[in-house]
Amino acid sequence: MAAVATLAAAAVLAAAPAASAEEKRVVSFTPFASNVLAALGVKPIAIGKPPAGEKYLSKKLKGVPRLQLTHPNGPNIELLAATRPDLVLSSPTWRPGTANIQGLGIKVYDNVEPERLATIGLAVRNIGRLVGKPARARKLAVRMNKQIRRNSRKIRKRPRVLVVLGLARYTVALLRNTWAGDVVARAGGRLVTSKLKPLADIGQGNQAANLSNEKVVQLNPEVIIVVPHGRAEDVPSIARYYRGYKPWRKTKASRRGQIYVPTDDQLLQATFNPGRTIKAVRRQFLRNW
Amino acid sequence: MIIRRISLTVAVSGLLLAAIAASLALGAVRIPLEEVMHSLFGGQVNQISEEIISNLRLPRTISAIAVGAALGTAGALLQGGLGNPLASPDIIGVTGGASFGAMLIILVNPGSIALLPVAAIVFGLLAAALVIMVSWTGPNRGGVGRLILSGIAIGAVFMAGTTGLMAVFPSRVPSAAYWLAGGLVSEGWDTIRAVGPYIAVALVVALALIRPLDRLALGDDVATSLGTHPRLIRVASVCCAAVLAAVSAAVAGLLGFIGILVPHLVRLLGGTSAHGFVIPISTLTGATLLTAADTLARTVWAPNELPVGPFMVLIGVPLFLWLLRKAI
Repeated sequence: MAAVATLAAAAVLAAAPAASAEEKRVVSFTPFASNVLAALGVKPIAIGKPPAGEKYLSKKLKGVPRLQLTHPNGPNIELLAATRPDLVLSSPTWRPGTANIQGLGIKVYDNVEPERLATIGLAVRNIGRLVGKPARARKLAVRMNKQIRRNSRKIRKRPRVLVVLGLARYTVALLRNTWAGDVVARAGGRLVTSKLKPLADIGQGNQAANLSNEKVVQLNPEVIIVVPHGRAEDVPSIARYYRGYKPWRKTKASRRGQIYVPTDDQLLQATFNPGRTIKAVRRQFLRNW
Repeated sequence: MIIRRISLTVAVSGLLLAAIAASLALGAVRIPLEEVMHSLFGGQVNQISEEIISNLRLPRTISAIAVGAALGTAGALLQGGLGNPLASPDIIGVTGGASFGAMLIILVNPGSIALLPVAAIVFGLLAAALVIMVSWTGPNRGGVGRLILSGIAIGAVFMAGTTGLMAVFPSRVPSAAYWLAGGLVSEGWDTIRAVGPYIAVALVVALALIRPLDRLALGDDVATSLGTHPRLIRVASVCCAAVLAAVSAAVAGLLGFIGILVPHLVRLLGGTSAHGFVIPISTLTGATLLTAADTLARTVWAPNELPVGPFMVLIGVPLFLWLLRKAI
């Protein structure tokens, strides 16, 4: 589903005329798009404020105004209009607000955000084309894909992994087609949920399942990664809660102390440096680096 | 009439036993019935089956029974005490208060998620206390209309607080959605062990209120002449229902449907409004309905779990509408 959407997006974007760099006043909502713009030498006039902090934002984005994003529409439409953008790079998460922005006569692309590692290069090239930097974007895409390949090599250990979204009291498993599932699988994790079907797509074409804890006990994962859904300062207490989560106590992950809660949002949405994310997952969680 | 009541009591008891058996035998993981029985009665079974039956499925079944019983009883108490067929835990502000308490944890302080049941109980009871305080002061204090109106007002204040929190912390609303949809979680014995005693005590108090409520049904003047204090009985009923509803919300989120529908179902099926019949059978029916619905919710799309609310509606509403049509 996500792959089809990305291919469709590619077709639409391919038909769009390549733009020249100087005429664009660009606003980007996601950290991925903002960092790609910075890497392409395009300074956006405003960017979305990342909920989990600005640790991974490019230094080149220092001083760029931040827009607070709220569900479901994204930024306040008046604040966005006040920046007078020519082009807005949105994402499926903020798609409900696309029509309102288009109503102001602004071009919006809400399908340039990669949802899988395989579409990173395509996403970068699409952004490059939209901001008139196709050649630099091609080089950047090649570099990022090389990093992904380099950090996915020489995997000797492939532990059985359950990846869940840290939603209170519920075991919402992130399946293979999610960003987190894809990164963990590329890092050498064998997803215990690989045969599960999702109830429905959520948000960015991600797929999740509200999994029974009985099934978790039966699947008996060796590693459980809980992707936090909250502020960075809440992570330590969320981690404490899940490490002592009674329904999982008989799993190998719990008995071996291998229930992990990442301290950032690198597994929640696409990152500008996916190679580094894969390496971090291998080092910290799967221990196969 | 007596045969009808006895038949209904036997039928509901039988259905409850069947629901309990199904709840223990069925789940996301298929475990042979023999192994389930061995696990329950101390026989030898493999470690995974033992963990699933003893520490996930059994506490969840008991939670479903307890919460269903609590909500059925709360509805019967409120409808009897307030003499209003539309009374339910929503109307005395408990639901709004419990929602606000839960949202404070889920949205504002997700790191303290273990405190969610405590917050739901505290704010649910706080809302009920405010309702009682407001309705118990000033002229015409303790009147039914005053109690209901103050319940609606206080409930609205807490619901506004809940939606306000959701607006301030929009990125965390997905976490709240599951709780608001209502449903049980297989998370072991801790929660039910903590709240079980409160439910048990409140159920005993509910039984003690049967006779005074029957007197109250005759009208305030007659009840007073029989030595009952109508206002005191009303407050006792509301307090008891508030405890039952708040504790239920702490365990299973918002399941408002049972409280309003089950007592009506019992009255229509039993052909009587006598509280000696309506309260205990509402307890049993609530337990049956939630246990059966929860079993469906966690098995129809296993190993995925679905919210229990739609399944309660699926089981209860067709029967209720059929009875309603016959009665009117």
